Amino acid sequence: MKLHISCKESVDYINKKEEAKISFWQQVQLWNHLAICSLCKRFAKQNKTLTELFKKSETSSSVQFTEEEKSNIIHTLTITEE
Amino acid sequence: MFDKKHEHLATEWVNNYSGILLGFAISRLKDEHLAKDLVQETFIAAWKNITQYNGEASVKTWLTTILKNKIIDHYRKAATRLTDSLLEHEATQSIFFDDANHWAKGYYPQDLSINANNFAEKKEFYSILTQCRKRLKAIQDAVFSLKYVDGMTSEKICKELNISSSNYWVLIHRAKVQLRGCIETKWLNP
Repeated sequence: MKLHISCKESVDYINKKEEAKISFWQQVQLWNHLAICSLCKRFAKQNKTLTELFKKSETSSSVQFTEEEKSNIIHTLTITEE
Repeated sequence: MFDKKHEHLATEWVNNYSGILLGFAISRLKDEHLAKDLVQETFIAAWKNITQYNGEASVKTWLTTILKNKIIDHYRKAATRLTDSLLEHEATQSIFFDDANHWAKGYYPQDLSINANNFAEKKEFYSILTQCRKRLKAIQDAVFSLKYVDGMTSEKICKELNISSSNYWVLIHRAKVQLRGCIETKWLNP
């Protein structure tokens, strides 16, 4: 078993770790990689921030039904058989 | 056929619930037109099955459940086209890493320093996220939405979409890598 993993693998482990889907050995490999790789360390930090923001996702969309669209739906309903 | 009582109920439904339902759909679908269509379909389906409404749940909950099912159906359709989209995305994925699977030059992760407690920054972030999600493949956005918006576990998502666990990881991984890249660019170079 190799101790050193690539950045690509480390990113994969970081994502899986979020759902606690990595083994103890993979965890060790990841710690080892993050100790020597500043880019992946930065990625891990950034990923944590993003994940937290994703979880609190708010839609920033201001899309609304227009009055016309609303009356179209109402019309469709009134002519639809129950 | 014109029925005043029915028209009154239909108006009440649409006025009271169309906004809430549209908000629900839009945070789960990147296509706004599709979101509107699904809300309309939800009203029609509910109307047709009004006799099945048992009055136990609130009308809002009942309508939301119907809408939720319609969204999942849409996700499933995207999941059936999975094999193609996975192959197609192989190319864009690999640009982040070089031949040694090290971060490629020009794609190094940057410090984002987003302050989630700052209202304006938060608003800006979610506006960027909405734009960046539009660039995802439908199936990637489906997985992203189930995981983060609905907080489902990977097992549940695989079951709902009938995809393998390895496909799930590839999808969520790529969705995140792509989103991160897009958010980083827009956040640092507005």
